[in-house]
Amino acid sequence: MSTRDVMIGLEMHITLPTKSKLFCSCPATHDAEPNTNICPICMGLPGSKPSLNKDALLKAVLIAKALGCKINEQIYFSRKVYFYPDLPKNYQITQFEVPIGYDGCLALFSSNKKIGIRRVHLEEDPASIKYTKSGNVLVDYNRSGIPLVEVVTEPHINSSLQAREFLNLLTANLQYLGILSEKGHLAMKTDVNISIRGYERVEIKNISGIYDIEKAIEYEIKRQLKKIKYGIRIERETLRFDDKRKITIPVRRKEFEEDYGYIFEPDLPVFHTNHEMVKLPELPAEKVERLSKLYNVPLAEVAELVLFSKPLTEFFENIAKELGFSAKIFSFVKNTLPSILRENKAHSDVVFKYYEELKTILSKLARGEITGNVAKNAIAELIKTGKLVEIKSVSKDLSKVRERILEYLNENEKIVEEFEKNPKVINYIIGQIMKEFKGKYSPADIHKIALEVLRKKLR
Amino acid sequence: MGAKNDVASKINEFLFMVKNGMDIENYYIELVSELERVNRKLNMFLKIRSAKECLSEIKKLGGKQLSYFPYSAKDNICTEGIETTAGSKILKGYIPPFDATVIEKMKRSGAVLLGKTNMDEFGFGTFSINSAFSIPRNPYNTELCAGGSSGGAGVATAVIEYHVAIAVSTGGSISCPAAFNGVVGLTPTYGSVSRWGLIDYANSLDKIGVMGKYTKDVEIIFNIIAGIDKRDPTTNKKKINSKAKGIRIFIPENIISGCNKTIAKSFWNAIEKLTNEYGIEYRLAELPILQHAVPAYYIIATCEASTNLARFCGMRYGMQEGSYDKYFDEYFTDARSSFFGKEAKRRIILGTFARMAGYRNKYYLKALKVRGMIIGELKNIFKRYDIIATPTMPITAPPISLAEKLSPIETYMLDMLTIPPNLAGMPHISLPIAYKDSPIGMQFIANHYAEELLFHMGKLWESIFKYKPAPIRVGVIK
Repeated sequence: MSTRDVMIGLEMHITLPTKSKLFCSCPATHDAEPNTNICPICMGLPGSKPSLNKDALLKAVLIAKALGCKINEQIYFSRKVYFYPDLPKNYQITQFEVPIGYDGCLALFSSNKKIGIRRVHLEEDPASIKYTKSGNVLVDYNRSGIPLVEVVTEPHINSSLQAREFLNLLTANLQYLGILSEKGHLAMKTDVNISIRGYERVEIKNISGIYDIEKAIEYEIKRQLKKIKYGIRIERETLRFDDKRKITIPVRRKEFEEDYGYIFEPDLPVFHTNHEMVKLPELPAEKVERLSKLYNVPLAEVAELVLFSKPLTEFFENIAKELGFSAKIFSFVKNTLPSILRENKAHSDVVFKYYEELKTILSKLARGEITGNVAKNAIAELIKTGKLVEIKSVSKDLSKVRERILEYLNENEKIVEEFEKNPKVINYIIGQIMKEFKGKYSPADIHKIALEVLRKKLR
Repeated sequence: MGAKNDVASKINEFLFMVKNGMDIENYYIELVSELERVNRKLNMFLKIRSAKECLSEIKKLGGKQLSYFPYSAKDNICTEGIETTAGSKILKGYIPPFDATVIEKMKRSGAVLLGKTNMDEFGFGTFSINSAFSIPRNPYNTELCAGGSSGGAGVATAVIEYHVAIAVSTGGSISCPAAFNGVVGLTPTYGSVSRWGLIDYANSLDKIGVMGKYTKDVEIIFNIIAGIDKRDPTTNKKKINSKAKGIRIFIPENIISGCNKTIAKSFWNAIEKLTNEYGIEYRLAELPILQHAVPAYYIIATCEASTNLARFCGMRYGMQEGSYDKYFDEYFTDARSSFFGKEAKRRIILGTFARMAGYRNKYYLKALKVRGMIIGELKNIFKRYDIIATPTMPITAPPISLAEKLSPIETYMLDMLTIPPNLAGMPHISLPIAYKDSPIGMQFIANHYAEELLFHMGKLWESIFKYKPAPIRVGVIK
């Protein structure tokens, strides 16, 4: 079997960051006390009627456009009927025949492989259910009616790795559209359809987080291949992912009936998408291409930064505009800055709050006046205290360095011999010296002098 | 214009008395006590508010337009703080936390809500015999049906001397009881009156309308309750200028031939009277497409109803089912089995079937196409004619015992005259035209948003025909 024979399709549910819910004016916040953001509409009380939040429609059109979809000029809503305690009306208002967008695609950076997008539609989120220790089930209707966009792909994904790349790319697109914040993939729930060519399809419902999606796919492919190997039939069924044991398990069949008996939502009129008026911002694919040309940096490296974080990318673009492109700054922003932020539990937006201070630090780094380590400590301090500590530039009086290297090499004669066989040993020496001087001198200067001293010794 | 300047109106009569210092408090005390007595016999109200409740509301009301005029609301219209059941056991004890838009508007105009009127469960019926609580009776002969589904509203309008009833029609639920109880019933254009707060039967067909003793009464109320409401996005507003002269009437021959002889005779008498008095011309012709109206209606209505009723599962409001020690779906099934009536269950099953994968194209989507075609044909008729006239019901009010024996299909077919305008969302008015065992009605249908023309026609009719008051009456001022 080749990887081509694994067919994976994803259905992602993206929570839209609107002020109010999809069909009522309740706040669409996620941290309120249970059952406080509710009204007769999102509780499905008899006699209540939905009214569409136009901002949600606009955001859904943005997503569909960004995914290269064809957009329907006129859309309407449908009722999807199934009975479940988290669904106040026992039907969900969603879209069936005419979604907002269809027939789009997203190309992966690594292989340029195109993943087809079957449809993009708008729907309401059900309430959330909490299981208590006593065995009772509690329902919190705060989430009921929060707008969701469902994105359905074609089964063009062949591996867990591709699934991850696709999801990262989608997440990045949503970031650049202003739909998801950086940690937004947490707010995205995904259903995964997996089949091996020639066999039945299996659906895994409601997985959150890219890591678990990868794990679920890997487990499920193994499970299906094993069945095929031993000639056991693969049932068409619905599973869920146990995120503790990292395995898939069947769902009670009645909980997901296949026939939803869709009808048109008669309480809502037809809406116009006005999609020609909707303008897209620069999306990750365009940005990667443009910046790669502008900075003359390979696509893959630019993609690493662009896909990782919108605020950091924009921060770098601004810095590069002011200070000129610097490979040193680029690599620092791409590799070191994220870990500083993570270690200090800071949101990427702080780079704009401390923009001027950071610019000072990074320009010193670019000129070789300070080491990466000094820059790192200064930024960590800045984030913690909000103050820019005085940064000592590296000393250019190198006589002490020369003295110490000579001394060091005299103490460690063997290193000189080793250097003769393997010139990379110099890095070890530089490391030792750097450590002793605690970043007072730049690694480049130390390198230059160490090389001079070594060559002299060998002569 | 044939109608006189001092058009008959119970509202104007009442307002005149209020202006001249009638003792309103005393009036309400007597009215409520009489009403409670009569209601034991006629079952038109599911809930009558006490004189105290009515009077405390009177003190709060500021509106002058309908100063203290007593009205009722069908029990599927939500009233804040007042039990609203839609005639169903499953909503027993349900007290809505908000008022329907129509109720808000009536309150603001100064009208007083007397109570909630009896109806077929969720509006499912033609005779009000599907109410979960009691069967309203015809005030002209209590053995006979009051009509449905707004049966209680029809009886209340006939019996209470000064009254209008806010009622609801999906397929004829205003026209039918208006005809059987000898009152005027207006079903407005779909979307002209907000449905916010109406417990849905079939949302694309439901219309809130009004019954009154005279055309002028329903006209006054229509102008108060109509209008765009942002809480109901299907509301709309248009004004079609009414013409006074050269009115042309179209009479669809094939559906008149389905009426019984008494009805047909009364109808032709009325038409003759109109032509003789006003020289109005009519044309009789076949309109074959109307034979598809009843099946198309019942498919669309039950499909929508079966989804609307999904929310009633004994979980968030209304009746609850004893034991919670079950899976949720078993619990839902038990609650729905215990508290829905037979006709509600029938319509849920019919509607669910017609929208299932595999049947959806054949029934639901096809019925929607048929509706589109019927609207198209009727619109065509209105290019050449101003009014379509038919009897309101093909039979006179049957005895309750007979109505209970009819098969569902026989009952559904009795809606053949009221369904076409309801399916097309076109306004229509039912007017009393004769009195046999019980009253008989005639129905005028106009193009979308041409309510004014219907009011004009009603007034023309009322200036040449005198309505007979019901034998049982309350709230009469001597």
